[in-house]
Amino acid sequence: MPSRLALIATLGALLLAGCAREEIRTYRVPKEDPMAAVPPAMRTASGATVPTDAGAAAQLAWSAPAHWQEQEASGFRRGSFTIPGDGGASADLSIIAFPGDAGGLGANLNRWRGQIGLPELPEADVQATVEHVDTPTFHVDFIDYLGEADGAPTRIVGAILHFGNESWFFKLMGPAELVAAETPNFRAFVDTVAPAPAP
Amino acid sequence: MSSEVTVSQAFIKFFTSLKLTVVLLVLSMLLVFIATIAQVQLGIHGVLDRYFRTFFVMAFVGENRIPLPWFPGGYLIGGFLLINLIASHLYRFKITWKKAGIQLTHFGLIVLLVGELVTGILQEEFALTFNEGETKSYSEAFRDNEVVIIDTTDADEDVVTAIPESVIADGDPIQHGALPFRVLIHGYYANADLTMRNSLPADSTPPGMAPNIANQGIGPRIAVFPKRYSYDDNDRNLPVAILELVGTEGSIGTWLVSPMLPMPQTFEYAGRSFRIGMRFTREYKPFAMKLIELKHDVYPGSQIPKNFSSRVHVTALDGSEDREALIYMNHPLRYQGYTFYQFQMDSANGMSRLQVVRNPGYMMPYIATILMTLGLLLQFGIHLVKFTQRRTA
Repeated sequence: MPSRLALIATLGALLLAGCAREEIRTYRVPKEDPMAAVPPAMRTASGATVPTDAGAAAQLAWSAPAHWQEQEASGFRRGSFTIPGDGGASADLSIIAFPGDAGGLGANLNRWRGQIGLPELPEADVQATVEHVDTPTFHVDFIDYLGEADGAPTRIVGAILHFGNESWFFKLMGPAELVAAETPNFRAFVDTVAPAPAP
Repeated sequence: MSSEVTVSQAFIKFFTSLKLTVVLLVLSMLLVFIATIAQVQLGIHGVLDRYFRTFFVMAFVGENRIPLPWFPGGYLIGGFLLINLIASHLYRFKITWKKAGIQLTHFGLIVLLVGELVTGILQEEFALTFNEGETKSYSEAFRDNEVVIIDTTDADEDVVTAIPESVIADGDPIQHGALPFRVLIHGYYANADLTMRNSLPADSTPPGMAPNIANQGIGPRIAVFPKRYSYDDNDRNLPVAILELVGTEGSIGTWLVSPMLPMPQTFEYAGRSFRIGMRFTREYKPFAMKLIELKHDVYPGSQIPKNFSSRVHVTALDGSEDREALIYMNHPLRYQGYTFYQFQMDSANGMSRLQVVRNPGYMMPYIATILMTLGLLLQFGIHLVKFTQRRTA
């Protein structure tokens, strides 16, 4: 009986439709920048969300090269160094922490770019200037910008990391040549950054 | 042979009976009622999945949460109604001009039922989020997640192996032809909070912290706090999985993945480079879309939104399409079976989010409504004509 067959076929189709299961897929895509997939609001160095009840006043500790002159941390600064160079030149290292993602990595990097006369970049492009490095303790976003301030070639080498509830910004800014010479020291310095032991 | 005939006759009698129709209609009313009550807890999507797009409504009993069906689901009731309707037409009703309106109305009802089935099975709903100037050839799921292991060795192409969250949730070891290693699932939480471990007091295990044996990437520095799965439509559950990859020579390492950790985690194995992570399920499309400009107009002197619009450029990968389109409120872009609606916007950050819907059955409710309207008009028309003829006679 064809009608009976139709009936059973309908039932079978219904049951099969209900049993559809998700499967593992494999496909090829053109090479893409993994950072581009990171939503802007989440484009922070660690990518991790942090709770609001822990580590609000968490502190970091570091050890600096002997020739860096430690300054008193004031205002927003959690740490401050002056790095002397030849002929009276000096570079400034500031360590600042802001709650959360401090308005996003892109916005902050563009702010830095503006300080040395570089054009503001769209989010995706500014992300492309970031180098991601795992130090012994943190995932750190490094940047290296060369521009001009007060008519002189000026360079900013920066490191951004996330700790506790805060984004920490380490910015070394000064005459291009001096900053270039100090970059290896700066990187070694960032490697030493670790949570401060409890007081 | 004769017994076979009685079985089929019994079948026909059962499926063509009007009693069945009444029972099914009562059951559907009850289903709508209990589902409406349950919506308070589960939200619209939870109710759709658990009450309507299922054969049975399940209850989970006891500590082991043994699943027990306690009420017929939407697919079962709808399926039986459909069969009941079709069978009745085949066996009971005769096609006559007098009954044409009723036939047409019922046919409309069949189209409506089939349309809901098609929608339930085939509808896809994704989001396409991009910034001004950004080009994307994929959209992302609103609720589903996937673990991806991406072979990045090739200079031009990435080979993506995407494992749906439901497969991870099953917890069975995964062996797949595209992967040169097995994937063992050591932990899976459907929804969790993550915290940097160094922001917690040292050597302490706060209550509620889940074990984390990850030893690669960012995993060891993360503390996982599982939390309740949320059925609230405005919440997004963020799952966490702890996965060990095991090659022929033993363990390669254990990673913690979550859509909350979008930063790439990479490793090398057997001379190849890989990236591992968990992300919102992606659907790649045969075309790319670039956000050229977004606009967020407000009424003068106020913050009341007047118009949201995204100007996009669509390029088909095979070169068959290369054009601009303007997407704004009530004016979606329909292209290649997809409908792109303006969904959300963050004009301060130059971000626009489109809702991307593909529903091959989207016309069926319209067709069904037209058919039923025509059927009813026809039926009443026939009665009216007869009535007036009788009066004049």
